[in-house]
Amino acid sequence: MEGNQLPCQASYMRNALFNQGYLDDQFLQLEDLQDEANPHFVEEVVKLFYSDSARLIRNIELTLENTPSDFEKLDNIMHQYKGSSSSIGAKKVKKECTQFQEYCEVENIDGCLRTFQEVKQEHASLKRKLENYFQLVREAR
Amino acid sequence: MDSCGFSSPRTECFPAGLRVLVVDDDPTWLKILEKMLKKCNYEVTTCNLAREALDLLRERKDGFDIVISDVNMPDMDGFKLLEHVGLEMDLPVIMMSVDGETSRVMKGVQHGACDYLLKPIRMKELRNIWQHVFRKRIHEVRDIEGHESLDEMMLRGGADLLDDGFFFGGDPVPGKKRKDVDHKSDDRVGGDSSSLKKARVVWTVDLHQKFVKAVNLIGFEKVGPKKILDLMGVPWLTRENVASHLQKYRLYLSRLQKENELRTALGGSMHSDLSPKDAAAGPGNASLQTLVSKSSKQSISLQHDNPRICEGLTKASPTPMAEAKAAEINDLSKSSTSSISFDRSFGQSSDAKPEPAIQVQYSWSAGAPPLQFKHEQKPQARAPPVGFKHEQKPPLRFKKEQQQQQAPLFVAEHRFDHAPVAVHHRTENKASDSPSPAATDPRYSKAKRGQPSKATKVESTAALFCIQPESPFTDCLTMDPILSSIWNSKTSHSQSLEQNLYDDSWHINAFLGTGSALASDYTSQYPPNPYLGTIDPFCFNGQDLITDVSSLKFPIDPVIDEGLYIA
Repeated sequence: MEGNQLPCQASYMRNALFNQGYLDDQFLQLEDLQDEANPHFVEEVVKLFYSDSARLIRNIELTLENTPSDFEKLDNIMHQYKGSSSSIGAKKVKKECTQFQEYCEVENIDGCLRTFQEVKQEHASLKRKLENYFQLVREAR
Repeated sequence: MDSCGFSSPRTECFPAGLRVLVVDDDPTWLKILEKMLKKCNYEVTTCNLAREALDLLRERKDGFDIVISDVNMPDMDGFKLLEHVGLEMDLPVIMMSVDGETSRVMKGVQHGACDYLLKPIRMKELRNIWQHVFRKRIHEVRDIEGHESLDEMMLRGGADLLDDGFFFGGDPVPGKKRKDVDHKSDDRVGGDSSSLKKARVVWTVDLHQKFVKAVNLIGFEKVGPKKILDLMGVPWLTRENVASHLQKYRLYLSRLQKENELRTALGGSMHSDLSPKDAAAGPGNASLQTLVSKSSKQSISLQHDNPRICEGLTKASPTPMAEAKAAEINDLSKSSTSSISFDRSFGQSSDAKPEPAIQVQYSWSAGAPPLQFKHEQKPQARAPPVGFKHEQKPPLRFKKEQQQQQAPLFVAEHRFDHAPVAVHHRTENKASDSPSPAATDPRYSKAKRGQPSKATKVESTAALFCIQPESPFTDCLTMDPILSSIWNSKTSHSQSLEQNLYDDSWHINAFLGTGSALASDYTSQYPPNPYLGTIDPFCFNGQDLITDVSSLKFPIDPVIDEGLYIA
């Protein structure tokens, strides 16, 4: 379904996600790719992202627990996660990732820990919102 | 695949049907890119591991027009993949990354990337990738047909590529060109009659051997395209062909050198183990084994083994330019055009038979020193990083190689040694002798070095040999690509080797089995490892590989997963 063809509620929510800075242009790209051949493309991609990124989040967590001084590794994993989150247009998440990487560069472990909490928060928050959004879209079908 | 000839549907509606191989370890991006490229009417194959991508490329020679790869991948650095593709298949490669730092982009360009895209990638950026394919073809045509008129050149290249009135179009290649094309196609595996394909110079084993020989004769420091070309004595080759190949070769050497230095720094002790043994010219198995097991444990993506081993060998042998030679070997493997992918099958030879480096050397002694290294490289390349045990395979090859070894420049043959073994076993399923022959094969020992990233080397070697596709065992191609490629290369190279291979390859059969049995064998042979997960030997078809990204080896967080999937 095109974004502008969604029923009221879903459309409203979609606009909110954009206006509030949760999603960026990339999400529009995904919507453009959705067609008859892949009618649920956007939802599939988002699901894929969340199932795959869980492992990356966990890896960062483990690294922060076990080898917190390994900033190179932390930066590495975060780089992957950031790249992945850019695929669905997760704007706020990306911003926190960048912040985390900056702390890694200056080897500020506290900064990393704090920012990582933000990353997880944004990650979960967007996930919830997108779930709700797709629920609305589904109901509208 | 597109049909041969000018009237190929693919080329007629170019760029539609462009065959793209996408390599990215991120399943989300892989799915998105696949969809985007399909929307551009391109033929897409996806792959989430660099090694599998190389396997795929080697297996399907001329099966792709362009490769798009991410820079950061777990099993192999994207730049390395870039180099290999450039040297072996000479395909345009586009790099992708979320990191747009100038230094990274520059590195990409240096390694031969024809473009560098930043994630998130827009579809319009992908729409234009065909220009890289076109540009390369035009240049190739110009290179090869340098002496021909511009009209002729355009006719060959343009008719296939463009369907507009500017070019002549329609008329098939004149007889003269056809002859050139056929001549070149002799060296090619696929023998595609499309002039576009033929226009590209395929650096086969033979060709690369000549190249390396010429380089050695001239002296690496003083080398220049014109001199090389003169020495090579290949009439249809142009100075430009040689120049571009030389550039790649240099890049390859320099990278090897760096890795070599790194390697030496890491495992200097190994060298000492190896050198004395090598000098003994006897089965320095112990040292090699140690070396192999050490190196195989060290890192999956290390490609250093080769250079290191080369160094070790250098000590034993009077070759002045160890690195250059090693590079040559590596390069040779790279420049091969076959599609053998040794990554998986050879990485495990940590316990491989310890072949004394010396053996390789003496077998090569007849030839140029660099060749020696090459041999060594081959076995090493074979050892896949994953703790995989295909020891038997490598030894078999080497053994044959030694026997076959006539000229010093038969590096390619040696390399090829590794590959065919596996194939033979699969098809022939002959009980072979114990790996003792391997033990005597110096090359084999090298393989044992357990170079994790050798896949490239081995692959290239195998690739070098996959020249003639008229092997009676072409059905092998349906089997594991590694094996089939090995088989092809082998049969094409030397029939006499077959017998030996059969004898030696029994264990390979035991490991690999055939058909579906292979899968389970592989699982046992290739235990899931942290880097590569479970290696699926049959995942050589990118499409098969990525039918369901969720089935990839990523642990799925049940909580998150459930949460997201609201019924």
